[in-house]
Amino acid sequence: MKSFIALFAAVAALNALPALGAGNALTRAADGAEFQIGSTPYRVVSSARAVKAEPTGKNADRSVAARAPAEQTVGNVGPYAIQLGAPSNTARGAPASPDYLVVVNRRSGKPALLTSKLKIYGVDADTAASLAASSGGATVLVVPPAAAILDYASPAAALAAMSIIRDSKRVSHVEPEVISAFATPR
Amino acid sequence: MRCSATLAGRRTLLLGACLALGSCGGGSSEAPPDPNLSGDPLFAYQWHLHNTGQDAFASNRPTAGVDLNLATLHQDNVRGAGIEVAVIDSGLDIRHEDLLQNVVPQGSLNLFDQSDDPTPVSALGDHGTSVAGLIAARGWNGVGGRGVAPEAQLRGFNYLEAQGVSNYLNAMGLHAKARQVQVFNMSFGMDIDEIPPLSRSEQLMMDALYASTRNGKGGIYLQSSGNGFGAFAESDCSSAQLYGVGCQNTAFSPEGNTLGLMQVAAVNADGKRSSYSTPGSAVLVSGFGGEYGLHRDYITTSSPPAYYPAMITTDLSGCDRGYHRTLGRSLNPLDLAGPSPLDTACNYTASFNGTSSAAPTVSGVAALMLQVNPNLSQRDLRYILATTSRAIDFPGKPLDYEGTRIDDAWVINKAGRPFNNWYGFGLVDAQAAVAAARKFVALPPLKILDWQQTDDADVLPIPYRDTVSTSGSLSLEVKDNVKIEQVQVAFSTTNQEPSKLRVKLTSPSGTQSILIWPFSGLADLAGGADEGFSSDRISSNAFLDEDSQGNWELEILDISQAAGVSPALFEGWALRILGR
Repeated sequence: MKSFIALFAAVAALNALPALGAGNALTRAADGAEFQIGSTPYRVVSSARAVKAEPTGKNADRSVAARAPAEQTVGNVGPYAIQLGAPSNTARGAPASPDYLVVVNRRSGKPALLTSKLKIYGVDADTAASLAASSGGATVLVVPPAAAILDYASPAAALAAMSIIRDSKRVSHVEPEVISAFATPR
Repeated sequence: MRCSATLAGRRTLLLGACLALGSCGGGSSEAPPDPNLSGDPLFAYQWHLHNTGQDAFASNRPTAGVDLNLATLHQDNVRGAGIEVAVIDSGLDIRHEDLLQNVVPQGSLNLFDQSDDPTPVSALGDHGTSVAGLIAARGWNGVGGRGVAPEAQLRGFNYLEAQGVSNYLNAMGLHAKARQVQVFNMSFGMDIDEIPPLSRSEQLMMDALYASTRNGKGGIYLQSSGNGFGAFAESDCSSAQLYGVGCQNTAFSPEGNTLGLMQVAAVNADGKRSSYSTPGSAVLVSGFGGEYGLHRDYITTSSPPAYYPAMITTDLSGCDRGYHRTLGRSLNPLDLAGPSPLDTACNYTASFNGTSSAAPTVSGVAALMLQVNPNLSQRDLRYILATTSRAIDFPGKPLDYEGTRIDDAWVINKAGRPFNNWYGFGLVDAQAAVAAARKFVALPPLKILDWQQTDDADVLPIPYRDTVSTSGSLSLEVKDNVKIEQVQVAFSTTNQEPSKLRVKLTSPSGTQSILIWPFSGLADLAGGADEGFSSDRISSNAFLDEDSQGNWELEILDISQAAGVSPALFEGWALRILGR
């Protein structure tokens, strides 16, 4: 049985993963910090960026991604095109969003966005505030009875803080906010 | 649904076809119903409230009798008075002439700028404003139509404009402006061709929140199941279309597979599944979503559902913006390009649809139920909806692929409860639900038989479809006995092609529930890791009121070949049962 069954298990260090399948550029490029949500492993892709589509007048439905070289775009998360490699001189438009780091779902190969927020569990409000202060963040929400949302200056700072909080042994679990898709009207 | 990317795409296609064929233009429908009968000029067209087979602006009329069965509830002053409903959506036109009287003053929250005005600035339609009208457009005020709960109070939270975990939690009850809310309407969801993960910790956090609102009675959270039966996002739905199964499945959103959220599917004006409605074992009940509401006198398309009635509701105020606006296209006698005789200020639309519409029709019914019995808990109300809804389109047609069942249609469980992945327990019946609410004796406290799992050594090859008996099954014995309200499952495999799998749960009583069917839009896995297809939580409502005690079986089949075993492994599964 996989680790998804372990309640409140601390995120274990991930074992080395097997050779990567051909054709998944994002997975091959994954080179940064690793973490797990539920039973699914993720890894930061430091050479990837999320570029938000911007409306452009009459062509409001055309995205920046659509105007960028096709070979750079390796996927989408909502309005964000996930681009890999050095920005092209011919790619006009919006820069990479500073709000997100690109990560890859090591199960599906799909991109996702890592935000600057952490979810911590098994804490009261005072402990959450203390952990936020000691890890360089701020408590943005306390969720009764025993959880909180912390925010950091950047997604990278949140990832760094996750180790500090886990090592404090004052939480039952900590995980970053990962956006696999944005909600849309139905 | 109307302003979603999916619909926008479809609408563009429809209009493109119309222009190409040169068939767009004016026209006149037959004499409309007498608007003076109700005091609300559009009420007579709102087939979902009272269906006499009347003109509903589309080419085809609704089938008489197919409605929410409000009967005399409104005349008896059961109108949702005193009940607050949150419209968690794209926005809310808080000054709309047919909503203003029901909008809680300074009660809404713009999550983008923290003001109390979530009215959108876009010239396009506002999904939330149309959703709100279905719930609580004011009745008997001489304008527009009527909501299902025409005296319920509305609060708008534009979560879709400012997404993230903090704003989600705030809109769902943590923010001060959400604490008085009793009904939370969630006409949104994620369209994604994989099953994203959900940690146990987050499951517990959200379950605790959903149960804590309404001063511990639990908020009434109603969510649209999705519009992905035939297509969604960028998924490959060709096989689903070929074999007649849903391309999307409520199982693809594990966060919605919980007792605290009620998934609502959509039914059209003929009392059948709306062409787009996403099915799944997590669906609880169905409301009305209609079809597309087009009229042939105005627009031509080759898509037959397009000419069946959509929902008639509020639209962003004014002819310079909204779905119904001067720069729009004429779709039917109400949705003209610019003012129409029944809507000279372009404040209404007759082409709104989707499970986005179905959820608010049920939210309205929930408001009526809470008016007559405000002490109902979340579980009480859920149970009433499940046990008073109507098994429409019964018995339906089960679907097989090469002798393997891929859709069960209606199944009557061993407690006598009919369930269908397309409709849940069926179409909501307002009169029956309110009557049951009046006299309902509270359910006993919730009992949770927490996750138990198969042994690590219990690993099986996943068989192809010639399997007999239990060759693809792993069992779990449950020793405790509760009356089931919901069953939750997690499982793990090494399979990399989930669209070939069928995952079926069988209760100790022998009732079967297909959790995952083959030919869906799930993409092949390409992560390179050794983990295969899995889910952290799929719920099934199909076992309502059965006993939990005994052996449960989870079977996984690969339907892609006729015989033998696939190279993938079924690595184990876990079960959680909630009941009383």
